[in-house]
Amino acid sequence: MDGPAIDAERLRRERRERCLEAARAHGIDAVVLGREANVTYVTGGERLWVAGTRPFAPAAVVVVADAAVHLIAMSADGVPDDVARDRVHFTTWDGERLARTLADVPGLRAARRIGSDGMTPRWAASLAAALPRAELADGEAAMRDARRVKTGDEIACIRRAIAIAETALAAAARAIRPGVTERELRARFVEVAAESGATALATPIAIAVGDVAALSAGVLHHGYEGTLARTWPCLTAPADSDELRALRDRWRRAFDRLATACRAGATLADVRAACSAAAREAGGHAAVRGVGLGVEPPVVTAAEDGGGEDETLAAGMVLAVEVAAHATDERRYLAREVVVVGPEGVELLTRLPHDPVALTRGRSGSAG
Amino acid sequence: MPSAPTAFPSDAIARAARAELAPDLARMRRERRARLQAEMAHAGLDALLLLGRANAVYAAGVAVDGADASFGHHFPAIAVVPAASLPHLFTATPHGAAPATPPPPDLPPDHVHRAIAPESEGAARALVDRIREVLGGTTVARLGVDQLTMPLHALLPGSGLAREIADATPATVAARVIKTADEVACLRRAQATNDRAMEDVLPLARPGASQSALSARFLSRVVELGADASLVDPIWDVVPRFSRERAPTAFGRLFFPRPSAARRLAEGDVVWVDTGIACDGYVSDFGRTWVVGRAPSARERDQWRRWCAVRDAVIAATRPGATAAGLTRAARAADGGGTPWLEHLYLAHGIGLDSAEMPLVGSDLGESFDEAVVLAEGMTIVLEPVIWDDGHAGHRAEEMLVVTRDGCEQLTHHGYAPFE
Repeated sequence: MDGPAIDAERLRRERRERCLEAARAHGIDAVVLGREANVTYVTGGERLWVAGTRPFAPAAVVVVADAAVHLIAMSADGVPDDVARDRVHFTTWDGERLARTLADVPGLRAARRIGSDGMTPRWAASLAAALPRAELADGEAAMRDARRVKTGDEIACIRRAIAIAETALAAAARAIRPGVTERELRARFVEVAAESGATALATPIAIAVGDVAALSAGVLHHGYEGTLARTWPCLTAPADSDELRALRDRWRRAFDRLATACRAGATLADVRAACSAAAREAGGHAAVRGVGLGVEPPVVTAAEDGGGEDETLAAGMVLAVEVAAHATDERRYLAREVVVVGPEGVELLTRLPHDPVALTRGRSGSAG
Repeated sequence: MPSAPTAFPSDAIARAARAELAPDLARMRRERRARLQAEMAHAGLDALLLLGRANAVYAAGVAVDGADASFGHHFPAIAVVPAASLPHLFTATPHGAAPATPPPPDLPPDHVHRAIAPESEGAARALVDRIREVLGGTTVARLGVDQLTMPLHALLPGSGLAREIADATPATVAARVIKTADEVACLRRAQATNDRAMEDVLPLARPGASQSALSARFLSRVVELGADASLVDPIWDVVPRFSRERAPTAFGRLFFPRPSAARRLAEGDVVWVDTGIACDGYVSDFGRTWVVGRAPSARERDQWRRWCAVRDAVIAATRPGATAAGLTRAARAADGGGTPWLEHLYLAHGIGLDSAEMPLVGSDLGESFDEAVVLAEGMTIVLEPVIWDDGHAGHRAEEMLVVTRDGCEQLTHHGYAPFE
């Protein structure tokens, strides 16, 4: 696989350091984590069955006082060595016993403020009984801060995941021909993505087939998301119509405007305003969201949905920037790129060409 | 478990079984809502707020595509279910960073609203305000919730939305544990699709093939055959001969399953296959043992025969009124007093919109839990016995069953190559 080398041990160490730093900044003595992405962030290792959402149940604990990471799992099989074996505790289907296992994690009974990343009515009662002295706080907010700015190794992981998504999307694109169905393109995408090492879909695959085909997909590789979208005409007879070129130019202007607005220090209100402007310019829609261990905040569209307007972008955040330029409701040019926010502007991580002629010449099927 | 609030349509099940009728999705959505609202009444809940994927699908009929959990957190489908009227659905925006989730055709437009992910205090407040509006602005006496983000958990009790916040799970489990005939038809279709795809994957399981190549063939084949998504990462676990070759479980048994990777299969590998896909939201569960590049040995054949004896004994015990403990007793008796399953998992689990749901049979919840689980017509379970001879690996396979009026019917129709 192309791209810079990933130091897996350093990746895990730097993630744990960021988690501890964020927990301290939030005044939290321990985090109790059930969301798969958070569990991966603090423990490393491959997680199974990440699709869908499951009700909250604790699977990882980080105690700030002794910087200890604990995993609650069926076995220590596949868990990296830097999670000490005496910190891997057996999980159980029995909620009451699981609450006792959790309370017995060294240091948790002494914790005054515990940040959890989710809750259920039963867990609220179990935690109150098992850890009566602790005050519950929003652990997801702390994890969001920890995960917001990516380490160099994380960006390398995202590059690899993008390379897989690009290889699979290019393979699906090469299957576009008159009469092709959405299902055939979807089958081709999942086939090549799995062959290339994707373990799961990060987001649903969206494919619209008409005069042109819009393909949008994201995959996970070692937990990290690679995502992109492209719009291509039939590629068996590669041609680039004036109309498509004009639509793509309009997309390009709107995308450049939006990507330029995604600079370090911009507030989410600024980004939202840029989304509205880009959507107007494209005559379609525009959106920006975080990329990392799957879909991450911020999620910004032209519509406001409450809060976070003062948050700012920082160098090292990774964002998916999506614009659709519409000719009519049926004919539109959709594309999504992934960028890293830098001090001087964004760096593009997605490399797959937009030009259908360039794609069929096979100039690029993957990053690097 | 409370008795079914609506009569179970036995004749419809039998008809579906014979003709393999396609499910009537509109009727299925109607009947699911009726079951859920009957269980709400039974549990004394005046409204439900459902953030769990499968619960929202069940209540509001929304189609949710396969994706990582992080997508669900930030682009949720949230259902609000009043006591007696149509549910409200908060779903992903038609324009935004995610593709639109098509609303179910039988919900009127004023019951479908833009999704708000309650990930921050501001967003949680905005969601609660919208829920109050759609519930008519009055305070609900008892609101059942299944899962919450922390901002929502902090906000709800003082929000004035409800006088009491209660657990929705007893009502959602009681409704979902008994399947309607159309739900069974969906499960049948999902399992048939999975079974069929495996016919094309098995010939690829030869020395030198990688686990990724098997996943690639399987995932593309199920999409071609009409599945929505793969909800369970395909597992092609090459099991060791001794359980001590893996870190132990709480029960000292072999740890299974292990995620797949680029590992290549070698001659003589014993592979435990485990996959699940979804059709109209309902999931399959496929489990078989394959032997790579050679015929099974006499010992491996013997393990398979012992596995079949356990399967047959459990199937014979599966009928309305039987307890989960009755099933574990039948399994143990057929295995000469052993425990022929992995105790960190279970002997059997329910299946529906989730790949493992109630009822659990033979889990570490223990004997008293199993004694209290009574099977009823319309429950769907997956048996997953394991025969293990330490030093000689073992046999694992799965069979999906639906409990019928006087017994059960197998929904898995797949052979046991290379053993038969």
